[in-house]
Amino acid sequence: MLVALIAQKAWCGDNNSLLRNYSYYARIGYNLGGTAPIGMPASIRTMHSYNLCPNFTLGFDAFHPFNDKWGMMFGLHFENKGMDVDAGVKGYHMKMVRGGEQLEGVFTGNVVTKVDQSLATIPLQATYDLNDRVRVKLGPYFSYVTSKKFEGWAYDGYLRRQEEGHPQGDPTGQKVELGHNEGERGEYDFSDDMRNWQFGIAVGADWYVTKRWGASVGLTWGLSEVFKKDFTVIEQSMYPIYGTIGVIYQLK
Amino acid sequence: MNQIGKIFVTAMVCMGLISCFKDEPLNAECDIEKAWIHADNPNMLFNNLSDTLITVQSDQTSIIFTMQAGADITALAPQFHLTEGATIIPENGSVQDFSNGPVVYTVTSEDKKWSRVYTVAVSALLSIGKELHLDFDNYSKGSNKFYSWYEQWTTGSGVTSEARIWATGNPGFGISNGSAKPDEYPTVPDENSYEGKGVKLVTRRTSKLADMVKKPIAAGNLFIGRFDAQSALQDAMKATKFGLPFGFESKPITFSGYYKYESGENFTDKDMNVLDMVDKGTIYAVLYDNHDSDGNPVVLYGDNVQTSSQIVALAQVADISTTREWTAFSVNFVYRKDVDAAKLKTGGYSFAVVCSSSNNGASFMGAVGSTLWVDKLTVTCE
Repeated sequence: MLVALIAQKAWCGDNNSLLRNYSYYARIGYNLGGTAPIGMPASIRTMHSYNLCPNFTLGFDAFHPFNDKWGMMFGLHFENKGMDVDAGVKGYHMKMVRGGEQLEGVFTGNVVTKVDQSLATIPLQATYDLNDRVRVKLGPYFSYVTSKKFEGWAYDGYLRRQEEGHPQGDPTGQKVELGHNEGERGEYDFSDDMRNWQFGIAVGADWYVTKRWGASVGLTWGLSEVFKKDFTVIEQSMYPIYGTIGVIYQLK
Repeated sequence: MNQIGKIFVTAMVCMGLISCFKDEPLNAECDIEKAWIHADNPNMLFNNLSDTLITVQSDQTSIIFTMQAGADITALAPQFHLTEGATIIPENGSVQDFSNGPVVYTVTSEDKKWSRVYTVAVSALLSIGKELHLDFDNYSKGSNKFYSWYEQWTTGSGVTSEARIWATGNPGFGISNGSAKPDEYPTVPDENSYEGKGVKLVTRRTSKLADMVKKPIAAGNLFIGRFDAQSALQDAMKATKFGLPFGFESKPITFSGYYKYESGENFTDKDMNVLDMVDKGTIYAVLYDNHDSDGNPVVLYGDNVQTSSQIVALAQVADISTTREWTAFSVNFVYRKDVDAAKLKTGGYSFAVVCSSSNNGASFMGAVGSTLWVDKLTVTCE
């Protein structure tokens, strides 16, 4: 619908043309959320801790109104979407790979997961002004991942090793206990298996308190999986889902 | 629309994702964790009360109760402690006839998706007469990627069967080196040994996976006992359970055999730092009391197999350094305590023969490539 609206305006070429009448905003915000599967798998039993990460966003947006109510906004945001969780799992399939050898099986115990993605994001949104102070937005976003990390360790639990010729998920293999400290636990790093591009849907609301300053709240819901297609170690598809709160400053 | 409301909804969505935990899944594991036989008169069936209970390793599918020779085994009712929620066929505690060979049990998991097959058998105590000959002629891979050794044991009544008395560290090596071929493991068969087949023990480099847990090398070893990799990552010493109970006619006095040794080039420590030391092999035999003063069963591990106060006698081959030729050895058992003749006959003492290509391999100190060839071991009794 957004594309149609833009096309209509460009075609009609009225005095509200796409090349004129722009407002510019700077925004600073904080992302709160995680990289998670849709629908928690039964193998993840409990969340021991969720630590806040430096998920700041800094961006610039351009806004162009089509009429009194409708408009569009696009921009360039530099942001961080990180996650640091400690979860209790049961029968969770995992694989530790190091230097050509791998240890695969189902793990019951605790898993620490640290995710970090630095992104350059271009949101493209249709806007609707509820009144002269509140604007709601909806549209897709596209991100390029400038740096990525997905790592952690399995600790205080046991792995049922998947033996040769046995199917994934088979819990009848040799039991190997993993300890608590570094050197006794199972470390993993899937950073290289992450995709370099992401896209999703962003929805939000900007509330202009004064002429220059405002507050912003939003939700970005990733539609593309975080990992590459051939990555099968984690059975579920993982998506970045984050809420954002922030401050806006109108530049022009 | 209320702005505060908007913020609230967003927060709730985030919380909702985190709080969406599903119900606890049914258990997928289907292990026999313990097996025991309850008898009204256990002393009529068993040599020791502690023989009535077996703790089953996660990789063990053969459960063997040791009973007195001549005990009536036609109607025994073993009971099992299974993974919670799992079921077993034949029924847990049902009476079975063990006189025609092992009875096969199948355990199915609580979620019904997985099962394991176990065999439960009854065996008499393995008896040792005047001489025990260990030739290493019998080995197989079974369903594993590595070799295991066993002896052909003939009972007093003339029946010969497989006695799986030998253990190696091969299962542990298979965990960190899943891609290794059978001939790349630390303990491998030697087709052309001193006489017939023998065994070759080689200290191997493990993998970066094993480096993570500071176990950069794996010594080749072979010993009478059991290897349990379950706690190997946290306490490697506990993985080697030395010794099995035997019925001796009289006490062992000499331990002899043949070996050949070549030490590896670079002696390294847990962090793979090269040290100015030369690797040596080790061959010894130990006899120990397998119950403590409170009557609890005792097994010796890597950290106390030569030092425990439970030890009755130790025969150690001195100074195994690089030799070019097969070398004959003969050492006496040095007794630290007196033996009880009755206990000797009824399996009150456990016996172990232990060979390793790096004498400090249990501490991950040694030289990659150190090789110990062993053949034709003999234990001579009084």
